[in-house]
Amino acid sequence: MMDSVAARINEETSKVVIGRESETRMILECLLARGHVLLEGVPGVSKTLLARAFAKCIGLEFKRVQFTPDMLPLDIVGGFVFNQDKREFEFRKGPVFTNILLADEVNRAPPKVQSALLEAMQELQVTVEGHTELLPSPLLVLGTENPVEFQGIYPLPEGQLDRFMMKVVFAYQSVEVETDVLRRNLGELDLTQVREVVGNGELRRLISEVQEVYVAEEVLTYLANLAKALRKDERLDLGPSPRAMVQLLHCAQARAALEGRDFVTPDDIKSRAGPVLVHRLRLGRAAVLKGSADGTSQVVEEVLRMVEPPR
Amino acid sequence: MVDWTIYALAGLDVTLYSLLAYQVLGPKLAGQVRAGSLSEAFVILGNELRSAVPGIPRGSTWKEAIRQAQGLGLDVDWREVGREVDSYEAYRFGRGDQPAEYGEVLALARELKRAR
Repeated sequence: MMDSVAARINEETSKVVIGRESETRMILECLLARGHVLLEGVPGVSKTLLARAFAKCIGLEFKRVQFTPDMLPLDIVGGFVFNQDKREFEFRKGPVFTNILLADEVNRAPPKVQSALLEAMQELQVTVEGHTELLPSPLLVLGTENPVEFQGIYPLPEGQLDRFMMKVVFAYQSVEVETDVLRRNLGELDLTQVREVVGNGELRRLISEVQEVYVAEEVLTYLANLAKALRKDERLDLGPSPRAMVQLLHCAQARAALEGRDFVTPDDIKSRAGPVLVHRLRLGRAAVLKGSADGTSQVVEEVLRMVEPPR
Repeated sequence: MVDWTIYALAGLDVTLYSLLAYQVLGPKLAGQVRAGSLSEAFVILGNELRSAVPGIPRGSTWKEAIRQAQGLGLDVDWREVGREVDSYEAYRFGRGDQPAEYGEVLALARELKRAR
């Protein structure tokens, strides 16, 4: 059932975006695991197009916000405006009141705007001047970042990064896939070709099914051992938070469900450890200076090779 | 009077045939792998994988270790090995019944032992 959902979504998104099956799969896992995704890639690698196509084939409301340095929190969460007719202030909802929010170039907005997203992402609600509004559920925030820009950006702080369940990196495609992309773009790519293949009711049922996926005690211990090994690693200044490990667990449940299993295996944990953990860890200055690790992904890979999984 | 030559020749025959039998059956017997239970079969497989595929990281899962062994060109039904590993994992990490079939896992262990 679940595996057919993934196949249906892939079939639809691939009508407009080619060669992004694994990225689509990870976004779907995050949606089913009630998380948010940070999409990293240079401009023009189809991050936005994939997000649009993804939202369309699951029939969810989609909004896109281009983050800029002059933004205010109101531009995201909404605020009170005066209604002339009623002679009172009323709450006008911001773009975060949707199911899929594409926060384009999220690191271009100042920290107060980024932090306005925090409550929304974590609590599924926003509070403005003491007034709390619940957000639609599910809510999937897709934040995009360009890895090569350093001018005029506000890097996301650790607390904000920790709220993104996964970081999905959009690399350049192989020559074969790029040729296919060029061929397809000879004509107009039309999002209307993408059909809705998963209804809202089905999506809600899938989300609750993911929560039912069984996790054996040994697998939980394995996760805790990974966390301990990473926190003890001298190359890191900051290890994974308990929330990071919980999110890794939820992702592993979603992956298992999408593979048609009702239990998590150590392979589920290992395959998602990179996308879930790498962006939350911070390499120590000594490790950078000594060159003992290229990045946090290398540390995660080495720890995964070292910590014995249950067999 | 006892003809010792007959006895000596018979003794020589027995020795020669024993050596021949050892030459033929020895490698087969040495490569034999038996397990009394499912968990024992997987313990044996784990040991054989570690011996036959040097450099398997400590953190490898069954599937990762078996993937590495696939490069050795062994005569096993990999699809069946995969199915038996899946059933074992469903039992080990899920709430599945204990599988009765683990013959191909043992066949893999045997092949790994031969390949060492």
